[in-house]
Amino acid sequence: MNGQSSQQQSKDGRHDDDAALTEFLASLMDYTPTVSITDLYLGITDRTAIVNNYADSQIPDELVEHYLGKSGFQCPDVRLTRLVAVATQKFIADVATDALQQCKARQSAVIKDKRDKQQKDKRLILTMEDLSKALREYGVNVKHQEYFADSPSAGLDAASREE
Amino acid sequence: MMGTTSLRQKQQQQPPLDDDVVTPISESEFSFTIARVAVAQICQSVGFKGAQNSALEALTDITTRYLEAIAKLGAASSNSNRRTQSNLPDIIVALEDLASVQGFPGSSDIRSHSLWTSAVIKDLMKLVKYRDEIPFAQPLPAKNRFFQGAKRKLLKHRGDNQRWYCNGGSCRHVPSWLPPVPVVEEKDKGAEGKKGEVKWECWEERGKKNGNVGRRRWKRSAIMKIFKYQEREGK
Repeated sequence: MNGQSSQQQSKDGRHDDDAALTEFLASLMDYTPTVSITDLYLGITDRTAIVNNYADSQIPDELVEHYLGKSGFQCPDVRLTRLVAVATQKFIADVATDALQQCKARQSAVIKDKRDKQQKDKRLILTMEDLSKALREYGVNVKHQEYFADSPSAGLDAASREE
Repeated sequence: MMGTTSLRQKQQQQPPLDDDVVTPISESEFSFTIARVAVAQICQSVGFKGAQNSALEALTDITTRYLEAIAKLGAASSNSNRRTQSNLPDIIVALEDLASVQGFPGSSDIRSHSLWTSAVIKDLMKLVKYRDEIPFAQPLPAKNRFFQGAKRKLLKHRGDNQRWYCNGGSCRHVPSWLPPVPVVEEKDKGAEGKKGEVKWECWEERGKKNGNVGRRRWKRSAIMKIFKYQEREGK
């Protein structure tokens, strides 16, 4: 009895996951599926149709298909291309959010006149320093050279440069 | 700040698309420029007002590498399961591998449980459900405009290679991952039958008319006609 109930629960859990995944894949395309892609994998065919909103990615499909084709990834299914586009967008958004937090942290640390602070708050700019700090957590090491050695005073302190 | 442009300017900056551009742009530069616009849009939606050029280019480079990494991992996982075309589990495996650097809930028993319960996919589902979509800033050209020069003529007739082959085009026997079959253009429409058959006598007559000067030319045109006939026969 216990075995049966736990089996039933795991089946229900799996059905919920399938339903959520079907809904998600359907939202990537503008159509109503009658048989979901996970059903095809698992061999289940009795499933009600799910209607959803159409979701798109900011990364265009042609660009994603170009890079996927360049690396040998073949898939005729457009939904999977959209899925990859959404995943990439999420990654970039996460990186940009971390960089934004770094930028805001730096602005709050520098306490000057009220006027200067307001001016800085208005202009949130993606800089190389913030980006390298944010990317370090993702395993990407970006190091930007601080100056170009094109003149003898390059890289010196401001005081010594005035001299 | 030196070298910063506002993100709005970046979006309105069009990548060179016109035919009369003097300097030819390579395919990789073109796709990089488009990716840069997309990344600038994403940064703007996150909250940035401007970006340093070098930072934006670095982020775009990372975007392209991320896309290629997903593609390589997905293709590798499908190939190791004796398949050439990738499917949903392959993508989930690829995304899990890439997300394992940062870590996600459930990464300790990775792939031992069902792939459908992976936290990677669940995060994506939540993102798509609760986020407003913003369309791409620039109208993109048709896919065949990526290439410059002679190749463009070939691709103009084919359009999307995969769809042509998959939808029962004339070259159904050719696998879709091969480059497109060149369309040979017919120049002289002489004595041509309904199905493109041209009698050998007509060719000889034509050769005699030209005084056997253009013998090579009409021989080549004969071969072209045969090719075209074979192509049409496949329909």
